[in-house]
Amino acid sequence: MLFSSIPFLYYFLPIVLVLYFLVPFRFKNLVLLVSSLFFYFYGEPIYVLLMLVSCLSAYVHGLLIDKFRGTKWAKVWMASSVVTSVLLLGFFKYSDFFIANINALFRSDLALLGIALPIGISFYTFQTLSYTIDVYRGDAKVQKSFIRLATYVALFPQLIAGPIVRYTTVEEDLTERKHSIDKFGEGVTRFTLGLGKKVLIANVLYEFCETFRASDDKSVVFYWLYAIAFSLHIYFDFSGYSDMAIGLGKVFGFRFLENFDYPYISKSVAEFWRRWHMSLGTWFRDYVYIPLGGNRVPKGRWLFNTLVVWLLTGFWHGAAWNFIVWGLYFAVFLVLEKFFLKKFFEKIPRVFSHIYVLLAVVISFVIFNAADMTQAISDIGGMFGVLEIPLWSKETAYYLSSYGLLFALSIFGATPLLKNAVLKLKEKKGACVVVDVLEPIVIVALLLVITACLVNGSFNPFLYFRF
Amino acid sequence: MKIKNLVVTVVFSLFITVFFFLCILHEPLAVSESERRPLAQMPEITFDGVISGDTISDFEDYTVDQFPMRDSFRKLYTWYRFNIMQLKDTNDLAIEDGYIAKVETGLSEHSVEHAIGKFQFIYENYLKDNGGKTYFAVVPDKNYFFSEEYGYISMDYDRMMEMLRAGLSEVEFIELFDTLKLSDYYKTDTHWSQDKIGAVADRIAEALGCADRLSGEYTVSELYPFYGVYYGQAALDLPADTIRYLTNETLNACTVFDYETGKTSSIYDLAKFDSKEPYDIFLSGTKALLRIDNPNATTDKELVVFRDSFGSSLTPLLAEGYSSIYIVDIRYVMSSMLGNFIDFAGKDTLFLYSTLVLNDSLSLK
Repeated sequence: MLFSSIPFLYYFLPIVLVLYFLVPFRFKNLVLLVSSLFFYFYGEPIYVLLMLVSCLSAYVHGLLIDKFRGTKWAKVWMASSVVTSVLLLGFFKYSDFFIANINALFRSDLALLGIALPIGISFYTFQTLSYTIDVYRGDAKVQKSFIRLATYVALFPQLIAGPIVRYTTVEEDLTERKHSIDKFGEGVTRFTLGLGKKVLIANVLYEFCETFRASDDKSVVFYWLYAIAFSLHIYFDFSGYSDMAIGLGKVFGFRFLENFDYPYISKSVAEFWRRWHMSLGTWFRDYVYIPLGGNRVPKGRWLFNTLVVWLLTGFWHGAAWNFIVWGLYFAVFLVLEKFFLKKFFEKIPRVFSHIYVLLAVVISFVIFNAADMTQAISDIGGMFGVLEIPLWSKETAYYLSSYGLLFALSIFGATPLLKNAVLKLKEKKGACVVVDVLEPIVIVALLLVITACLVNGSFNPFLYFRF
Repeated sequence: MKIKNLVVTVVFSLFITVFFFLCILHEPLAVSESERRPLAQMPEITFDGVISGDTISDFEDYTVDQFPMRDSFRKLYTWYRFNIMQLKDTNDLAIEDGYIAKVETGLSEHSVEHAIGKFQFIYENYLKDNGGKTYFAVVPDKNYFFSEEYGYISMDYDRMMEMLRAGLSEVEFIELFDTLKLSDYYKTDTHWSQDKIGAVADRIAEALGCADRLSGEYTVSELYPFYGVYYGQAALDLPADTIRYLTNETLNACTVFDYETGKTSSIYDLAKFDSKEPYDIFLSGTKALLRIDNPNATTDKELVVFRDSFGSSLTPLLAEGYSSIYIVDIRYVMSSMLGNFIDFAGKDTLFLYSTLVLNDSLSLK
């Protein structure tokens, strides 16, 4: 089920909210678990069993690790947990990728399995992995209640598109959490803003991208506009989803960590990744990069660690070569920054480092969004005038004038300027009252326009479902 | 507790609760009058349907189609896109000075090739040696003029004509683009207005050699209000059009035989004005095979017209020039079956197709 859908907003959510706030605290997790399972079942009727198996595996492995703590068996059960999770993820997400590559490499004719990717498997697998590893490390206490652990894994606000919530983040909330009007109000405000980012901005930007793909009148400038539109789209799509997840979490008394922090204002690729999909970046840092030795190793080893982490980051996003190249592409920039670029950009005006990051990121998302590497190369070729197309075309002019305001608003919205302005206003007493009065009005206006867009049946899928 | 959060909580909760009850209590509608289409209904819940995801997908459609105040929300959507986001088109429709036009951009060469293939089949099988002449006329869609007038984009019409001329080299082309202008089309509909296509009829009649048999004198009658096909799609309150149709003694005397139903009627079916497609007053709308018989004809010449809906209002203006006109719409009848109904011997043939159909021709059989 999509957050940005009529069934979620006007059927599922009202029922769940009423049930949740009516039952005593001891049943609240159960209500959340059952509703989360229904939420998942609605989109993936069969794969809900797979998710339950994943929960059960994490639960049993957690108990076993705890039981054998201090013995070599604890490590064995932790390894078993990791292998089980990785195998499940590998089978359901990567089987056909490996089969296709084996066929290409050895000219064999192995049949593809054609398995549909279970929605959100990459997210909940990483959550179960973090749980068992944290229990093994002693960073988290074992969860003896299956309902609590399954609630953590299946919690519908973050189930299908993150953020990747660590068990340690919500460990206390699962047992005891407070609900209040303030949390509810702040939560639904965040949820509605996220919904607005998704429906009113991201979807329309994607419309532009679709229009570009369908156009027979492409130009160099059109290619650039497409690359910028997709980069903005994916930011508003994914950060909007994270806002909705964080907001809903707050409504139900959970505190999820932030997942985005205005990544497009970064001055280096390393900073970009500290601001973009933060829950994934920190996951790989804590569970892959640091266990490999992090940066306190010789240069050669550090290079290896970096390549492994970014290869896995790319591969996590999708079972295709363009995602792997996308991950390694960032690794190259991170290596260059460490040894050369960082010092270079420190010596020249800051604006150049911004331009450098934006260029690197925009091109990366062209690779990311391509159907395959052939299309990625062709798209990048189009941007740099390699294809036999004009610099400018009639359609380019038309679509730029049509979507111009959206581009301007999106670029403005991708910076913290608006947020800072609102915060400054709030510091002034009179203006603060105006902002407080306007906020509910804005929420209602947003809900009305969002509903209008959903009723019109405009383009609506979440991109991150495929991960 | 902040007052603001209390207000937001109450407002949000009320909003989704009110719409929850409206969704539950809303009586499902069978059709959308404004969109001219059937609306999705509550699906039957079956085990197989749920497991396959079909039931859920159908339920999604149902919730969207049957959402309370759907038309008002669609209007809000269009208003938001045009006025707030300043987008130049919405749902592929653009609006300027009351004119609504579909912004057709890409030329589907595959579709044009498909159409050419169908026309070639007809020519080879029925027309090549039938002793008559074959003509081809392309009706430019409204966006041809709209895009020129208001700076919108359009499909590559030159390329389309180039393909048609190359693919149908045996037939004589009648140029119509210069006989029309934007104001010859309805503001809220895709079609042209019959009272504005005199120049088109004259150009065709001249090419066909029947111009001297057309009186060109008509009485204009009006039907109001006419909300065209784009009106509902655009979902904005715009002024209605007026349908103007032309009559004279001969047209009133003509009869129209419908091969599908075996019934005979008149050229204008005015009862259709109150239907979902008021433009259907012209030759009763979409029909596979019709024959106009002219009892006042001063000739025994007969004509075959292959056409789309633009032909419904144009063909009557040629009726005075022939004893019979066969009107064929191969979207509703197989080309290979036509020999069973029409004797093509000695008849002239006119293909009259709009760029819209040529660019989306897979329905041609």
